[in-house]
Amino acid sequence: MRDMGMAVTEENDNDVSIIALKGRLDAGSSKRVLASVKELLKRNRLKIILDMSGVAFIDSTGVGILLTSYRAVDAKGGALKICAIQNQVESIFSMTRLGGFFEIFDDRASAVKDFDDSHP
Amino acid sequence: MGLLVIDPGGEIVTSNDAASRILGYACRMFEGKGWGDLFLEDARNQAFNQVILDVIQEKKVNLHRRVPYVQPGGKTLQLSITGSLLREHEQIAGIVLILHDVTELQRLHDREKRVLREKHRLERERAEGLTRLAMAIAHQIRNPIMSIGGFAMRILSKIDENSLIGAYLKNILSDAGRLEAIVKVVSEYTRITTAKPVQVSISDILETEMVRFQAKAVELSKRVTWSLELSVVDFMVDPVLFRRAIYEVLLNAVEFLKSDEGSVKIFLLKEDNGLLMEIVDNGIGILAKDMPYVFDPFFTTKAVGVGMGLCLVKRIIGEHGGDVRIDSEPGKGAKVIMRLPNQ
Repeated sequence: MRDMGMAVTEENDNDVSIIALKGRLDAGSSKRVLASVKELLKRNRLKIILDMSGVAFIDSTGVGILLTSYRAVDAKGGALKICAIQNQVESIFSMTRLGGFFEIFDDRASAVKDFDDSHP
Repeated sequence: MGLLVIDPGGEIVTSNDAASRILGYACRMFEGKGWGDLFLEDARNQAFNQVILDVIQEKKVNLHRRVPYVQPGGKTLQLSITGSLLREHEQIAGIVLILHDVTELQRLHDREKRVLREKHRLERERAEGLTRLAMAIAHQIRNPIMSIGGFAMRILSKIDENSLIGAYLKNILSDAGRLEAIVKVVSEYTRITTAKPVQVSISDILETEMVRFQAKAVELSKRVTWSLELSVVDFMVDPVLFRRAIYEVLLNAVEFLKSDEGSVKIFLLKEDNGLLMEIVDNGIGILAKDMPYVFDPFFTTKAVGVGMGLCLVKRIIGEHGGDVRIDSEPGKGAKVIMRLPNQ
């Protein structure tokens, strides 16, 4: 299948930034995700959620970029959480143990709530 | 052969010594570790990782790929990997990976390819050099021959044609004519440029050539029974060159018939990887002692003829990437077999 591109949109919920991804997370698109994450860090926004509800395909570059993003956020003392992983991608997460790096939530609300709870 | 089994939680549950050795880790240190923790973060091994991700994502069984792999120590190997998703009651039960180190094999293969390429380059260079030489000689010889022939003719017109000198001059004229024919065919040969193939109907070309030869056979006072067995085939050839090659083969078939009568069969078949053509006659055939030389330039057993016909055929078929060979039983006929690959 052809790379259909990826839409990356950003929203803020108080001090939590949410990056919503829609499309294929692969070699063609994943660099834009990392760029968005780095841009947020530059603005000192350290609580980031990746909303994966629109991602049905991820390749090894995508997985690599998620890990790089995680390390970049972690190095700044921030936290990167992931929410709403689709079934097709979930098996990748479990079999690559990505769950060991990220905190993963069923939906966006519970990820935001987790940030709110940990930092009153 | 290296073997790894990864469970649904991403943990390497089984591995053998070969797997550790191939992947560049100490023996048995895999077990209990996560595949993702060990391999995923190395950006150099994306192709390797992708095999496993594809097995998971596309639920593949026996996914086979050849990928580069960089060991932790920095050494790069070529691996042949086969990955299969294990399933139990519609649930993923794990992944089995079989690894072969094919670095050495790949290296030999690459070397072989390089040697073959070099051999082809040298052959081409040699052929081009010979063609240039032939072109230069043909060009240089043409003018002196014209003047030898021309002056012999003028002298002949001034003396008694039936004198001894007249006989000598006729010999000079006849040999000058022969030399001219050689120069003409050599120039023709050197002018064959790289084939410019277009899609044409091969069956149409063969039929047209056969009709042309029916007339030619009458002219040569030969009685020929023709038979065609043609699949209707459109194929990529250079039509001018291809017609020329067919002409030469048919000319031989007709000229070497026994006692001026016989049969010529033309057979055309489209195969998976290209085109097969056979032109079969029941003429005098080719003697075993002549067979090694039939494609050489200037080799001929005809009383008239320069001996460039089959040489041209070979060159033209070669220009199309194909090959030509001849089977013959002396006294029973010859079969010219031409194969052209798909372009």
